[in-house]
Amino acid sequence: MASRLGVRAGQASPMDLSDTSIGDLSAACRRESEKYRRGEPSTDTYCFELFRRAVYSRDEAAWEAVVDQYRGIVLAWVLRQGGAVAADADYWVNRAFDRFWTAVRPERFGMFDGLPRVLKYLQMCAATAVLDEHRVQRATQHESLDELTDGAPQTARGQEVDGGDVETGALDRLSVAELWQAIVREVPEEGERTVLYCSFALGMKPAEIHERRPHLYPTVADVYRVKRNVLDRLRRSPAIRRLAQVVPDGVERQGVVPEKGG
Amino acid sequence: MTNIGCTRPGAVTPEAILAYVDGDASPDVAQHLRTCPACASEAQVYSRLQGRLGGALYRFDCPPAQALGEYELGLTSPEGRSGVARHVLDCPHCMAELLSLRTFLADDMALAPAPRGGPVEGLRRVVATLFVPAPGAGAAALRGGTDGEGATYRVEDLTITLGPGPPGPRGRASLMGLIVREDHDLEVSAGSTAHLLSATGEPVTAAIDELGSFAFDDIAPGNYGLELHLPGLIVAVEDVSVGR
Repeated sequence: MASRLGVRAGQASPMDLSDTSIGDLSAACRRESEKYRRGEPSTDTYCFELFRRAVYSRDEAAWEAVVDQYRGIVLAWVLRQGGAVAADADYWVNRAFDRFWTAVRPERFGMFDGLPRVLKYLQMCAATAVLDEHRVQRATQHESLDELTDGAPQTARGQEVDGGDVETGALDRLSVAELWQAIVREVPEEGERTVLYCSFALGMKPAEIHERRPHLYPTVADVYRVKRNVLDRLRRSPAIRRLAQVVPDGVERQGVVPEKGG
Repeated sequence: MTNIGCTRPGAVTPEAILAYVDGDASPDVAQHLRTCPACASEAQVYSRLQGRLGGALYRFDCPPAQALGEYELGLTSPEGRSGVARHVLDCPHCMAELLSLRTFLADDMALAPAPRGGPVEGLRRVVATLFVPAPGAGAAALRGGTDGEGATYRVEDLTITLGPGPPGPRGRASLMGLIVREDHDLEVSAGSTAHLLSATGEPVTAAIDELGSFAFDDIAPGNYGLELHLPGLIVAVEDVSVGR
């Protein structure tokens, strides 16, 4: 908006609004926002104070007023992302506000020096809520169907995307960090570990790994050779099997044996 | 190596079976796997193993999207910034997300006031003032309010450094500039431009790139005004002397 007033977290805005009711603040915020949209001189003091009360003071009435005031703008951001997101716009609007509320604790409100930065952060929340959902969808493509879990969207680490620490399903049984450390112990050679990291953490095909690291893997066949070698080692590792349960029953009977002369 | 129980030992290598799982195998390998239960079973084992490793490890060390967003907004600590930057350089997924965030956040349409009359009406206009002479800009081509030096101007959280560029032919001059925003990256858009205004001639326009730099080449020595058109903001720098 036209003015950018610096207000420290926890302090009332320079214009003393400490006795102003939420209703009056909300009305003034709406009025000034309209002026701003018409290109007339306006102040963002009232709107910023609403945010401050909502976030810093955790005032639920102020938060409801914030959501009411900015729902339309957040909806516009959501609709700009198109596709399935726009088709379920209300859900994503709520996710954006939830994310903002969760991420901006009272002690973090000081990072905003005025309304423009608050709104930019809210805009960022509208985008990252969708990005995280895309991550989840991509991660679940790697899981076999019998490992998929019900309930809230999960990250690859089994954490609920928005708030909470829900741990469910197969991923509940392992710590990814522990799994990676076990892999590091089993695969100490960096060239081999890079293939694993690129394959499973970055989701790259061998041809992409070769393209990005030609100095390590001069041909795609080199990547396949390393990858096969490492996978065979991991499937026999008790530590990896225990952590990730990655090896199905009966694998021991399916092993490979050296070919004659090979 | 070959699989125990393979119907045609030596027909396919374990690497070829892995390539089949990755969708890269030749038709010969696919044909063999359709007829060899042992190799088909081996492919299934690789498939499950890769599926589970991928399900557990996929992007396990990527910063959350929210962290990328805070990085883009300049809300990350210096240590955190270097960590995110290092990761993004190596991770094509985070790089793509960061670029999409940058594009999304650069668009202020939902927050912008309705246009009134012209493209710049309703934008905030501020005047930058001389801060300190820029060190090392020794040429006397540009004064910027001081004699014989390049100069630095400041307004709000913006720092604008102006300095002489390479001299042009026949006594012509050039001017180079860099805009830096304190604490976080400068927001520029495709329409961000710098305008050199003189009392006697047509204004000269140069694009501001994503790093905040711009340049005017082959300009007549003289006194100019400079306007920087940034998203939502016009920054004016007065009395810029070039080539004198």
